[in-house]
Amino acid sequence: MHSYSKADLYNRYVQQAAATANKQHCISEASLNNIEQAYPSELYTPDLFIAIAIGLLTVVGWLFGCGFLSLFLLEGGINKIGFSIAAIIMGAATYFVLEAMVKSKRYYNGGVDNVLLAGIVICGLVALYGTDYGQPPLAIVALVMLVICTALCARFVDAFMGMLAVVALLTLVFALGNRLMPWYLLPLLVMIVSVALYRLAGKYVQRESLLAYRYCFTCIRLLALTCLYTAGNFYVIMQAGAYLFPGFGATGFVLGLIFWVFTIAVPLIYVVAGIRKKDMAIVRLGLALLLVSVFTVRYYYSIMPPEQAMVWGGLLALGIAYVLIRLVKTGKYGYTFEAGAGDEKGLLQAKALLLLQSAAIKKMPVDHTQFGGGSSGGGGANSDY
Amino acid sequence: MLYNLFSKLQQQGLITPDELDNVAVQQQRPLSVRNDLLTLLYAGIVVLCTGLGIVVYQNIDSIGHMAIIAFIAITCTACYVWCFKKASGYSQAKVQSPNTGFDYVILFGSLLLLIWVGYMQFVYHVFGERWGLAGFVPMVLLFATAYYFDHAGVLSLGISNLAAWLGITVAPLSVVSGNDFGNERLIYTAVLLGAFLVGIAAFSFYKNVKKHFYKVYLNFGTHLFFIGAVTAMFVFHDAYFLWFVLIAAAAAACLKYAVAANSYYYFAVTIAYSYAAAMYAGIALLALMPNEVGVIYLGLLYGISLSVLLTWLLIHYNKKFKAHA
Repeated sequence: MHSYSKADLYNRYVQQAAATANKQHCISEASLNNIEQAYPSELYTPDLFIAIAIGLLTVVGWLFGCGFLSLFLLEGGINKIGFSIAAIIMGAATYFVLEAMVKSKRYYNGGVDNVLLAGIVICGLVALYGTDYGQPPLAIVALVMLVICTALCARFVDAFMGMLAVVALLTLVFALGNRLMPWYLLPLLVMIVSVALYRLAGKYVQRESLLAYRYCFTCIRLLALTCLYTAGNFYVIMQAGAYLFPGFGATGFVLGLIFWVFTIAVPLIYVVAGIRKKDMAIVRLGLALLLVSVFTVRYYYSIMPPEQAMVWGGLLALGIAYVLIRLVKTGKYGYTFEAGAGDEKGLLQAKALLLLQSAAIKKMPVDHTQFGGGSSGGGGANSDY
Repeated sequence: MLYNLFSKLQQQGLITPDELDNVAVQQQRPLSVRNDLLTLLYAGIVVLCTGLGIVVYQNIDSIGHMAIIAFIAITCTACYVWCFKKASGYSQAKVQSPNTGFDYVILFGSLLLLIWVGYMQFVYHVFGERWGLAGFVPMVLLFATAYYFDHAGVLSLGISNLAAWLGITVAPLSVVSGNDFGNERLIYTAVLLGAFLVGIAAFSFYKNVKKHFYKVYLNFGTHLFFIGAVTAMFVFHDAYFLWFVLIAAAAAACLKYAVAANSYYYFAVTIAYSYAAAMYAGIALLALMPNEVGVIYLGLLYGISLSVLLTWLLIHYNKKFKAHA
């Protein structure tokens, strides 16, 4: 089904498991080497930075390639064959390049494959919207994208394509539901499908025969949870409603209250459930969505100006972190504060970037005479907040 | 599932029975939430200080306002006093933190110090009209804090303060938009400061003065230098070839360093800047040719082949790294 060899993917899984075990000091360096030799994998997955650089180069190369091809087609009379056909030709060309590169170099999340996959999807969208027959119905677009993304996910074992397929599926469900049922059932429909997807992906994630797709299913599960939340978020409901149904807004008190409760409760449920299941991915997702909920509330009911909210929010986060560290250190709750196998180095770099961005020290006025709030330099204050 | 895998590996004689037991024990171990909690702590500090940095400039002269200033001053002092008590003193070598919270308290204290000094200058003109001094003093304090308590995060704050003092903002998201690179003086400043920081990095490394800090200096220095030099190519178009040669020389040195230090990061960064420079140089050459469709084709082909070439270079050397590691 996929264009990689099964052994390559399986051996990569074994190597990763062994590397983690080595990091956790369970197995020795010698054993890790033994395993890597016994389970060789030809897949090319570089370091993240290299992958990003390769990806950027591929973006530029791909754009130039498309420019080259379209110039070629233009000289051949693009107006005669139509924009959509040109996009389809480019998409097909991208696909064949990708297939050839994967076959010869075994790129697997190596930057090149990720960018070219996205390129195919973009070509598909352009082809759909670039016809001479006006805008196609949303359901058709979603259906075509669902087929393309699912096929690409299956063929290149790519998690991002899997996630796009989920988005396409939910869009399809939404577009069909929009024709068949009253608006207030639409969120419910999307929620039901999200939960079903979450369940299904959860079943497949455990399956040994689908080991290669494990990461895809993990991502799909998290995305399904995000979609479940999004389908009931008050802001999303209001915006989508206003867009789809002119005159929308009088949702009624009860319905509005239901969506508010949903907006606040779901992230909290995720956090609590994640803590109980010891699934940190779900806890982090819950916290991120909680932040989204805070912004949702702020959008409608601004209790205090942003900088004051930052002060109180920062104090709250500090307090919670302090209490939790104390609690976890007691070791009673099945969690530990000792270092795990996580990627501490990457986290440090991310923290350093965050620090520079947020505490952004404003540059000095070069003539050294200008006055003004935070630009006094070193104030750590952002005068143009 | 994981245990089954490792028992299979054990049957194949790839790992010892003891190691299999280790894996089984590891499965039962409590889950580590260290990184998550420290990130929360960190986010709390950064958000709180960003908020405070804005709040202090509002409602000046109100009573609540004075309370905030007092809070900042007291907390800042408390942070520093606590750190001086806990710290084991200055050393040329790397100093281990006495406990987990230490690094975070220093960071908190330094950020509060920045806010406090900035506020003092704004309201009381402590440094008079000499705004240069108002940037210089906190910078020195930050560097002193970073070196005394051995804190790479505060060091990067100090360096960005140094850049700010010279008129450059180094916030990652606004390094391009926030700086007026049409200003010729700024370009020279960026290039020279970049080179200077790389020099400091070399000094730290070879003279063993806080050797581990060299990475922080090198990171800032490389980016500042390349951003300045690539911009210079665009701005000083007449002399672009000179700048191109300079960039090429610097890139060669960087690649050499990246291979020697086994650093994927520097390799990728150098290739990215080189691409921008090479692309500009190539297009500048093509612009000299007669204006025909053929030239556009040539330009597109150049773009494609440059990407392919640099991608090949990345992959080729990436494999070399792995052989080294």
